[in-house]
Amino acid sequence: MSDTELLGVLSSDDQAFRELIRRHQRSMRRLARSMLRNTGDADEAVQDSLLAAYRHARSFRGDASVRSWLHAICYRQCLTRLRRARLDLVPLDSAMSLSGPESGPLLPFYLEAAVAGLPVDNQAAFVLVDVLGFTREDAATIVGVPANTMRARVARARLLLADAVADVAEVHP
Amino acid sequence: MTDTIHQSTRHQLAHGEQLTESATHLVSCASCRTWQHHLDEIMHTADTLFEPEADGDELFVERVIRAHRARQRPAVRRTVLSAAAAVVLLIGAGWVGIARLTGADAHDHDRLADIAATWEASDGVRFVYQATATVAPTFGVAEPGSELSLLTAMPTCQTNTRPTARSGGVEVGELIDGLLGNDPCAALADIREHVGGTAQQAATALYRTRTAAQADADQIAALTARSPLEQRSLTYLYDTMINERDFADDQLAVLRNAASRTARTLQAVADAADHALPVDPLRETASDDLRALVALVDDTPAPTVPQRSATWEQLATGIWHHTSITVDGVTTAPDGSTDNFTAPTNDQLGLVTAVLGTPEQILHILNSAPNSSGSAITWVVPAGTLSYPGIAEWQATARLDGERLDGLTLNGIAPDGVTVTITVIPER
Repeated sequence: MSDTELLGVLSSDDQAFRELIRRHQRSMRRLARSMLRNTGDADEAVQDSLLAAYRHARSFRGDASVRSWLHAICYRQCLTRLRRARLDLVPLDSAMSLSGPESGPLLPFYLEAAVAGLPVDNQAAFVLVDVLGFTREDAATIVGVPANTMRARVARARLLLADAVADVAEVHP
Repeated sequence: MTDTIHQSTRHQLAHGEQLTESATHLVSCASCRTWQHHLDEIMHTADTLFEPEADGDELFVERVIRAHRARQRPAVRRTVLSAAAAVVLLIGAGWVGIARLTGADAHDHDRLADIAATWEASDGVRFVYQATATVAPTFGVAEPGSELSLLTAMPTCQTNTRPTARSGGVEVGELIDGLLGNDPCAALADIREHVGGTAQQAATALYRTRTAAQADADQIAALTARSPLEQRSLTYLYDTMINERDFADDQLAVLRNAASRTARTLQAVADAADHALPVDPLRETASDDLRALVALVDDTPAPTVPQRSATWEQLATGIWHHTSITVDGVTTAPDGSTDNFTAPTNDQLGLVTAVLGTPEQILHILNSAPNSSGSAITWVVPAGTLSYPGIAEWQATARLDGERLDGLTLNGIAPDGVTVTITVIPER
């Protein structure tokens, strides 16, 4: 059954919702974790997103894929939480001052911290395109910006991250 | 110009564009090539970032399904809750009142919400509180030191006598007899082979224990605690490992001294034998030293698996009021020592506060349960009801005897190895 078919029978088939969650929860949790930095908050945001998707399944128009639609709900859910919590976003400079290996097995841990320090627009762009594998066009739809804006955001995120890794490599050769 | 060409090159690389004139620059610029290498590594690593734990997928699916079902029935719960509360107020507080009210219909109504309503109506519920918390910090298995801690070699005669071939173990009495007999050089060769070898093995084992304990302690020292429980656990584990290191150090020092002393004495025996001098005056000292060394080697503890978790226990009694909770109990540390606590606010581990920080918390937990007619109801407590650093999800189990709550158990597991079980048992 395709995602769209599952969405169509949500209200009459208990297993359809379960299957939809199973297919997309992992990717949505990765997006939420990158934005909220707290696994508890992130999982809660994804749960709320999935419940919202269930409630609003009939409003799905098929303009984008179900996957993009679910991630768009999740993205907005995370943004709302960030605003509500008035999270003090870590300024890029201080995130980049983290010491860490510029390569090797610890690079993912360091990179996650560095991604968390990106401006939220670049952060979401990088995660959607380079982490989760959305095309730039799909990522633009999810975030609600023109495709060219998304391209620029992805490139800017890569520049900032590579600069940060290069800086660390210089300090900790 | 240089900055501009660097920026232009990196801009094109970040956009994933084909390099044009920048291609020439990249060939000649080591800095940009290094930068490109960093970008490649980032792109290569990106698809591994922010991965949730692999074994948590099904748990999360069930969590969402439960939350989904819970949200589909709030109206029913509110009706039952307010009806129960009103009747309880009319007939007076108590389990009996609720049991009579609901006894005729014991199937599939929200019994835990009824119980919460009873708590609200009675103001003064006595309870017993029990908690077990285990902290198993995640850190790598330390590699023991690879250097050998060499003991002084046991001496032999210059005649280079070969040790006696033996199929089984060797008795120290047999070696001493040999030392006292007519061929001390043969005995010395056997001592070097057997006692020297086992002593060296014991020393190596102690050295490995010592270095592994130190490495574990270093790893623990680098961890950051997020709660009083974790802080105290890390301190306890650190102290345990340092004690283990110090114990191994002490044993190693004693073993080294004994080996050196024995080697000195046996060297005198070897010298005497080499020069055909009488060894009788040395025999008693040599025997004593050898026996002492063998005893030490035999007593050297085998390496054990180091303790990597700390378990704490709490037991208390308390009273739930509308506006406050009193609780009085004892915390037992992993080493058996105890501490008293007399209120949620001075609970050294902060565990009471997680569940009973405010009077509303336990009511929220009870009210979040699904309807069931079973004797045990298990569900996931809605996020935000309980708060404990690192534990995002709590599973609750209520055991019921008819309409009466026998106990409410809450289990929380943090991804980094903290497991907490808290049970609240209301007085019957």
